[in-house]
Amino acid sequence: MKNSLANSSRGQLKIQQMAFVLVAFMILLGLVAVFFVSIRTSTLRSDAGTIKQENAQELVRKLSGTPEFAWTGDDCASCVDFDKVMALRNRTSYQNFWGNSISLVQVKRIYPLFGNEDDECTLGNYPNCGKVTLIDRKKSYTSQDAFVALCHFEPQGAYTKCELGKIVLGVTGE
Amino acid sequence: MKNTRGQEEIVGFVAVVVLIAVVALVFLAFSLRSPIEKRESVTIAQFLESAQEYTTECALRFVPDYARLEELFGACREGKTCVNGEDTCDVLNQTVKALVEAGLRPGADRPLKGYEFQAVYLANVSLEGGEAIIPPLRFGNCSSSLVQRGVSDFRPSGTGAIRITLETC
Repeated sequence: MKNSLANSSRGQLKIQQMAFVLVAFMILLGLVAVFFVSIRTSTLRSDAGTIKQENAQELVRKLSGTPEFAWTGDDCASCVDFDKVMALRNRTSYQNFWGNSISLVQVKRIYPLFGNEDDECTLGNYPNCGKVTLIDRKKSYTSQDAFVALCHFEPQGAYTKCELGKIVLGVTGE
Repeated sequence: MKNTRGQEEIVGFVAVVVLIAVVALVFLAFSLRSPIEKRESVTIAQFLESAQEYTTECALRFVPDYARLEELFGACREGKTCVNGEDTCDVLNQTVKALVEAGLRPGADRPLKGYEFQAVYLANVSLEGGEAIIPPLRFGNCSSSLVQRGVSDFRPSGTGAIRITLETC
């Protein structure tokens, strides 16, 4: 009788031990799962941010295809007519053309640079200048840019010349 | 007798812990050994597309009919020279390097640590590999970080096509 009682109590102890080990193991697995999920979530968040930024870049790039910017000399989707952009400068009718949320519209030359990249283009220094600002509302904004080819007619030599540039768009609010 | 059973249980517990550690290590080793991720980048693709329209200093037929960068890839492969006697491959090399460095601004202390530019002629576009038009242009070391990649469309050249790839990290 005593012997069977002792055996039963030892069996219960064993089951208890097993239960503790299982619980500990499950907690360990849970911690690993939480760690893994948190890493995956942060990667997903960063991927979502990148996709959002790339969509914005595609939108900025679409500007180069609008009649105000498009180079119509050749069949070139990425070409912007720098002469046209220069002509748009200081036009008050274009100040609200792209909507009130657009605080900055700028076309910048990237390569080659003549002097300072921040040299604003004027009738005096064009085309050997750094940038043309079409709109600058002097507000805080989130900027997005996209590479384009800046094409213009080169009067010395009478040919068209394309250089590397960027369209920069500043958006206020969301 | 009791002492022996206790020892057996400790050995069993250690065995379970070791087993779990080994499985975790194998899993870690596999995840670390996975190949470097190459992600298509809109910025790089836009850069390549725009750079190919760049008007170079090389006229292939007469001045001022200056060639665009994309025309120089075919001219370089065919061994042509510019009207001023310069080798088209030299002009191509210099222009690509200048454009990448001005456009993407790579550097050890900058967000973009390195790049690799390749221009390949493919006799058959469905085949991998191909013949390099110019030796790959490299800067920095992209072996251990995320690589962003841009590939141009196939540009017809002769009986085949030219494909341009730029990888940055």
